[in-house]
Amino acid sequence: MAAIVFPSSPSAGTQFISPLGMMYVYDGTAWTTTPSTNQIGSTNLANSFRYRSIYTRGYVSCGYQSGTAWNNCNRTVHATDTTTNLGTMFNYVSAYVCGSFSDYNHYIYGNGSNYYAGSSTITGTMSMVTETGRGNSSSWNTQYSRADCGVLMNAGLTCAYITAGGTTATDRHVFATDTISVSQAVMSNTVSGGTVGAGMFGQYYGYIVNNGASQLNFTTEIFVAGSWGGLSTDGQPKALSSKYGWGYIKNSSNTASLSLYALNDTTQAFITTTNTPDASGEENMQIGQDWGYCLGNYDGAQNNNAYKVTYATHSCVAGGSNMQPSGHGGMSSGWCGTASARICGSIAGG
Amino acid sequence: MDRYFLAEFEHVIPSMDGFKYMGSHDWFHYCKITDELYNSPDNPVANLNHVEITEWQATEGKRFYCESRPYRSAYSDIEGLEPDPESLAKGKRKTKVYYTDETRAQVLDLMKKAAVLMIENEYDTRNDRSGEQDLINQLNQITDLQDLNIWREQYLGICMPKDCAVKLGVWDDVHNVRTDQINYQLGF
Repeated sequence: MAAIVFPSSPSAGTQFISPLGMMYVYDGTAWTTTPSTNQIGSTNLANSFRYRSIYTRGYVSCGYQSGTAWNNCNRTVHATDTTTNLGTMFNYVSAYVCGSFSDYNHYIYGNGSNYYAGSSTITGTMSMVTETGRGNSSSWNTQYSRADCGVLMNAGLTCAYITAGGTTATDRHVFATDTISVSQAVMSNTVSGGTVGAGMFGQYYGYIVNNGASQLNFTTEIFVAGSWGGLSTDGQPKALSSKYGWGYIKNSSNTASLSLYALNDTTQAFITTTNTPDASGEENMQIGQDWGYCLGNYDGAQNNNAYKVTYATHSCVAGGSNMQPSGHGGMSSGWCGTASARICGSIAGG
Repeated sequence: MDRYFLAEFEHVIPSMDGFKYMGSHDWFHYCKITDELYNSPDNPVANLNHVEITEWQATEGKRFYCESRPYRSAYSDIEGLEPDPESLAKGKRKTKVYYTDETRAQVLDLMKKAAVLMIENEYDTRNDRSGEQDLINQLNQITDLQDLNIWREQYLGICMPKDCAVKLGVWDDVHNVRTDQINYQLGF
């Protein structure tokens, strides 16, 4: 997928949908994704980043406790902060995985590790529409075997970029065709391949973190070194992304601190910190429309700790048993997908 | 003086002076409450089923929760433990912390208390409490952590660890996955 090639000789008002699923409007001078405020009521509502789709629920899957990995899935309804165990969903138990979501499906990469700390090319997937497992297919296999890797997802949810977890090389998962491939010309992240990676992403850029950060430009598909707000996250703390222009992650390693750092997802500038209920890492972070969740983490033990982070206020509150995942005693190092009640944008992933 | 409890907060967990939330397993919560708060009208667990546990159970014991192997895995650097040379050679940071007879007994006690709490909370939602005491009596007769984990899956719908599934012959060692259908529903 090359850099965006805009139509030549546009006139004011000309619209163009990029391969990443974003609509651009020519304002007479330049191509823009305005209105940048993304307010409901805008004439370009259907194509703004925040409201292209409306996230209403999510799924947290796999993970492990005390050397035993899981293959069940829990659904969280964001309006009520209520989480329900849906039972066994994936063919393989797995942990230290990462994942992604299209408009319709939730994916777990490294799902075939068959062991809680193993490495794998196999991808497990479920339909977020029917809430049933979709099994495995070689077309979903990553080109590189990975464990505890990171995933970056572009603005239109048309592509996921799977990187780190043992290699600097990057797999591209194109949701429209539901296939995974690698572009040899681009997409090698600039941080160590490592065995762990944490990914955070916004409208224009994604970041892979592993004792350093690497910034992926979704338009050009090129990684450059990142500054990461001066933090030094080793990849075990996992990030919570948002559609607000910032994301959250802890510093250092797992169990290091209560502080959750908010970083601008375009400039990487540090914004603020908020305290979480636990000093933890290996979180199962679930993105939401206006707030996100941690649904299980490691705070010295794999647990079912849950908390909710409200993006607009950077505030965090611990959730009770209604919010927590279940079906096991605890879960860390799983992954989450997020689903929408409404898809407003004109391009939707497969 | 601080006291330690298990309780289930269904919605938001309180944030107040004298109360500290210490994490969760299953669907209950560990918390520390000062004696002063516990004996005051503001006691946050006064209207909830709750059970007192020891400080060790609330801090160290919970790290063994559900662990029916002879040891738990710990990050040596984080817990200040001697690294395991074998793991270090593989690039892993984890080391093993073995049970003693005393710690195994403490963890068994912790998990039983949690199970009783979950049973009582469930019966509180029902009109009929018949069977509750029989279930608790059955639970109290369990003396082994593997047996307790198997019992938890049968009655509480909480998936058992791999070593228990191996013991029951419901584990596929080739694919490293359960061979039977896991029932996540309550068994009572």
